[in-house]
Amino acid sequence: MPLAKLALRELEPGDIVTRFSLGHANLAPLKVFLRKKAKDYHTQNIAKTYVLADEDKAQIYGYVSLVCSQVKLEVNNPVPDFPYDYPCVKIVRLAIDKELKGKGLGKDLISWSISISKERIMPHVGCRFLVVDSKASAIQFYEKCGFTLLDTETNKASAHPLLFLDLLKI
Amino acid sequence: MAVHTTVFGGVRLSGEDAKKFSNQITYGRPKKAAASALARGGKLLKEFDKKGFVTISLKGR
Repeated sequence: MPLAKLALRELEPGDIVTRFSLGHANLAPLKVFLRKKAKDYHTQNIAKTYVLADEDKAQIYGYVSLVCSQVKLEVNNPVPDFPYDYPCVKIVRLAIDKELKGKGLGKDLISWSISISKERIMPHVGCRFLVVDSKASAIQFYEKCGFTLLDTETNKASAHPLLFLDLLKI
Repeated sequence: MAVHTTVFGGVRLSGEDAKKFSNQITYGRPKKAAASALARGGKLLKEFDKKGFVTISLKGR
């Protein structure tokens, strides 16, 4: 019987992460992270992971992991008298099980990440950007979610181009 | 010019990349898609606050 609904919530110790499948060898690090690291990082407050889970079986069908990070500009700092790094939230992992790809669930996880950053972090702790080191193949996905690609040739040619969202301006 | 980044670490921009980033955040405008995503995420957050989780329906997707 096909799934009718999923729960978006924090990763929990009893969640079944071993059946998560992405269907492509290039995406293996995303699967390995969920299986071997995500729970520990979540508990240790290193990376917080939010999952899309089948509540009946606690099986995971998608996840996003967020960390505190910073953007360091070595020249042209636009804020006067601020020679420091810009605080930000970074999307370090985002994946949807191959069974449910193309249903807009990735966009839901991005919307969730934007709102957490903008509404729950930025008002209380200095935090200017939401950033992601994308896969080159995912640039359009992030742009459709409102991210801006750092528009340089070196970045666009990178294996993991940087995209950002200025939380102050939305 | 370069973008230095690690998965769980920070981002360091130098040269043309730093200049461009500075320019984009100074003069860039937010995309409508970002506002839409924020609005959608806000609804998810409200539901999360009430129940501790959000129900995502797969019907019609």
